[in-house]
Amino acid sequence: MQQTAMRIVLAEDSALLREGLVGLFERFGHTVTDAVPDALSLVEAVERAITAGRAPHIVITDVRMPPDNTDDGLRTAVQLRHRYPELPVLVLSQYIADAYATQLLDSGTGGVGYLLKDRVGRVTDFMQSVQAVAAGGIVIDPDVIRHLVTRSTDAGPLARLTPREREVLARMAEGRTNREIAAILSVSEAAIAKHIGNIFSKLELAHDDGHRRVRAVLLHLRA
Amino acid sequence: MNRTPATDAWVAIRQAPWSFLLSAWPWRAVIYLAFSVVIAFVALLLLAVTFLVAPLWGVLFARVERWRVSLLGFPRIGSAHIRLGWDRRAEWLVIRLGEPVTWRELGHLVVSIVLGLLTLVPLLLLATAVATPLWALLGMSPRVELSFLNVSWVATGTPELVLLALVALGVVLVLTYVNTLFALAQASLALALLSPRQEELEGQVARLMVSRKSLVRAFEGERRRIERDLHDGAQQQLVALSLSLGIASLELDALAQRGVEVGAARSVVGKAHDQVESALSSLRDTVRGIHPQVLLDHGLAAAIDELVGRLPLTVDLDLDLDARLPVALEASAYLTVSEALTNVVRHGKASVVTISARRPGDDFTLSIVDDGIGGADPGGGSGLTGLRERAEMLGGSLAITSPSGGPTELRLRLPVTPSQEG
Repeated sequence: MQQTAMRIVLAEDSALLREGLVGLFERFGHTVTDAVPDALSLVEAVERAITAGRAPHIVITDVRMPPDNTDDGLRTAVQLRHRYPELPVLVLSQYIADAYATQLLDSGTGGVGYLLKDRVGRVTDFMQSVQAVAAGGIVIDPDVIRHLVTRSTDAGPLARLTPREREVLARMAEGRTNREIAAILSVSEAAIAKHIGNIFSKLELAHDDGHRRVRAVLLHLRA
Repeated sequence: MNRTPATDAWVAIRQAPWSFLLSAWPWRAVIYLAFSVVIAFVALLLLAVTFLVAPLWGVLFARVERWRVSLLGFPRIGSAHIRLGWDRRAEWLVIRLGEPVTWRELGHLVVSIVLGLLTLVPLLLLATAVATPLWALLGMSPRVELSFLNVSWVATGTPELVLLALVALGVVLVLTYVNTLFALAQASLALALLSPRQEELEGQVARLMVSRKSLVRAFEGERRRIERDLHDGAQQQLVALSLSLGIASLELDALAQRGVEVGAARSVVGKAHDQVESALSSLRDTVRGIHPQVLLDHGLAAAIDELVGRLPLTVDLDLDLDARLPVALEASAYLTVSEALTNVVRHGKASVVTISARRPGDDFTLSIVDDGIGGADPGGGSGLTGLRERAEMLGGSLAITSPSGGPTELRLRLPVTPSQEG
């Protein structure tokens, strides 16, 4: 994956982890323009950057932060996505819950990610996820995907998908590219493209919709 | 003789005279009466000097009275006062003055003073009856002169002294009965005035119920505090550790590119990374069992949904809950589901579990049914006993039916009241 230097706004209340993440991003050549410890300063930092004409390439935030120490980070992420729909946001959570994921995904159209905090340790994968979200993609934690896939899908448009297509859709939700999905399922990239075409048509997603991939994943998650 | 000893003075006095007179009860009655006299004088003195704080003396002396009836073998009288902790000392006076029992206690103190002074009469008579012949014998006096009620009687010889001793003995025996009855009468008065009334007992029960509920809330607060500590402490540190290990393996990659042999180091770092991830995952499971964040943020339905997604079971959810419920109720219901599912997984005999929750009116009901073989012991040694106690503390119930052959059903019912908000 081609790396481009990004401007990152980071919100994380644990100083230890905040410093660790800043170090990690700088190591990969990115700039953390603001590293803040709470939800209010996150909003301020993003607004300041945007008015200065230097919108961050990605906002990365923890879920539980001051001031309320509940889901402040998530609520702020949702709020930022409403205000700046194209702003890529990656939420890191200590716990994975579908309720958080759907709340976040429903809120905007830009790149969005929802990952278990543990994933930061798998540095290379994590940096790929950050790149994918910054590029406008969707990255959902495999744990959430697994949970959703095991749930019965005997209703809605997803029922029309074959098990294979559902599997491809689940991989899409993990933020995988066609090539990666092809490698995982040991088939050709062309076969994957065909599956994805079928998924789009079965889910009645039109060609002129620029966010077909995103919408498909959303449908999948809301099932 | 294998007569059972009398348990109190009232039982004793109705027994055969010899067994009563030879028991400790007459002595106890005399001690009781002696206390009455002392109390009367002390109280009289205190009231004379500090008349304005009389109710406080009433409360204080009542404490002695409640204890004093045990001299006659009666159980200590329970206090009808509202129990106040040290933290509420500032309100003590206002609350005490507002309680009817405080004024009953003052009334009792006044009556006690009168009765205590009257008690002097039988006690002095007893003392005289004992002392006169003793004095006559020990003093070896040939003459004993008695003059009261304008009757003069002089004992001059041995026969008269013997007669005197017999008369005195008779008087002592009669006074023993009189004293014991008098002591019993005073104790009954204390019992009547100082015992808690029906409504005071009901008030105490109501306060106990409230304190049980606040205990549940305190539990809940404690659980949340533990969860917060784990989240802010250990979990963040483990994630940071995982990040450091990730960076360490990047360093190893860089070394490897320069041709350094890093195979051994890489396997150690990889192992450490696996270990820290499994530590994080088990810590997350622990926290989920304590008080998951999603329960707080999104309520019961979301938390149960989250919980069942982690289990190797087919779970049908039928949760008809649109509004948030009181915190203590949500926690109790969540823990019940968590415990029930843990049991299902542990016994491994069921494949489908149905969980349904309803909130009809002021009731919350939750039912968990599995298709296992049944025969679960509803009482024995499971975490369900603790959950049942919790349910009862919140004024609800937890019922388990598990006939042999199945199905096993668990029904939780809890009242929805604002007092559970916490």
